[in-house]
Amino acid sequence: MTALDVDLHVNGTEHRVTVEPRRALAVVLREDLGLTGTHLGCEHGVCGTCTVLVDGEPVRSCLVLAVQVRGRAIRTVEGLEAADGTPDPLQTAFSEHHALQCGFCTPGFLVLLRGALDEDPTVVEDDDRLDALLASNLCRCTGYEGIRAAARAVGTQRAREQ
Amino acid sequence: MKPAPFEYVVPTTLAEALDALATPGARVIAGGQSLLQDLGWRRTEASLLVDVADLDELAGVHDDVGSVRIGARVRHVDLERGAVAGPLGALLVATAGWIAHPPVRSRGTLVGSLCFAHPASEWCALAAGLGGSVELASTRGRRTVAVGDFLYGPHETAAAPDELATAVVLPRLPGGTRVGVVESRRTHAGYAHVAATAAVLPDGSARLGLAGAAPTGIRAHAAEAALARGEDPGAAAATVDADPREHPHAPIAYTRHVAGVLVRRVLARTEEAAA
Repeated sequence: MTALDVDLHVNGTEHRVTVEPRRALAVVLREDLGLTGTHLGCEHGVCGTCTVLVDGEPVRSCLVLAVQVRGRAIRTVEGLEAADGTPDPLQTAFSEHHALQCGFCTPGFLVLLRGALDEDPTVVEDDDRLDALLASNLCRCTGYEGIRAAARAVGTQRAREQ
Repeated sequence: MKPAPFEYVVPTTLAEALDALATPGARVIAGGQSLLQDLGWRRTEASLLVDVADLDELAGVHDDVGSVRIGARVRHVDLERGAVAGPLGALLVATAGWIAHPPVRSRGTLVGSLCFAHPASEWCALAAGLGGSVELASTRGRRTVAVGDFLYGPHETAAAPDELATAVVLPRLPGGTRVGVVESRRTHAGYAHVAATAAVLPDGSARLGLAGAAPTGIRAHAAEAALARGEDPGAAAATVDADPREHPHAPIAYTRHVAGVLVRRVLARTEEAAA
């Protein structure tokens, strides 16, 4: 097979990588770019821990080939904090509301929620909509109540600001 | 890295894409949400992936006089956000919410789902139930196939290996059409066991689709006819339309029963689209 040169635009930085077409975006982020905040769990699109934003929309980076997102804006959990290192409000809220235990699923939930809140912060105002969104990703230890509370805290504040 | 090696091209014209697809072992990739999973599991193989992401001909929704043409690049999330107007659009919105989860809906496509032809696919049920058709293109020419003929069986379609499905054409539903979709599934995270879609036209006639009730998505012709005669469409769906296979969690008789219940339920729950 032929390895291809691909320009990946990740968290505002341009990276030129040479990748085999069969390599998933998640694998290239972790192994070639050293961005290990994006986790790989099931590797077949079920668990959501590999969620990243592509042009602002959440995607499963285990079900996207790196060659498919050439030139697109990719944002990972490493790209959530502000330039001065201030954590994203979601990261603070996850800590305050105990929305994590082992932390393995946390990057996926943070990125999923960042994408959803940027698109429409009112998603937290409707329990059914929020549950449907959070059902995208699996948390196997602490449960979803803390995650819901953190999402509501940030979304409500965001909606008020707009 | 789980898939076996393959080559990858991103053609910018339809002609280039069709030439590439004439290569033995070539496969189309659009959203890839099913294909990449199957390549990872090595349940399927490809020597070359032809990415349709840059083909303008496959983008967008095009309104025609009596029908709506949905291009092969139109994603689940585009339909969920209301890419199609009117009662047909309302049915597409209601159905899209049942497809996987938002991070999958942002990549996967309606036409891709038809080509994947999962027996429990809501899109296959909807497209078959509405009597839609699939547009196919290859270096040998173009043809249009009714969805009912396109869907052969589980993961089997009428598309030849070198054919590209460029669009699905669905009939426009007249104003006042009531639409609905209901499902039975064992867990929130799973696929549908059975799903039913309905469009009840202003004249009272219905177009009914079923997923999970047969080896492919089907149109429930017998249930539609029973409804027109004033008889129980659920009984007709269960005994005539449904052709279920044994399922690990559902014997054949149970799946027939569920198909009948869901046909009655979806007809009872149809709603008129907001103007």
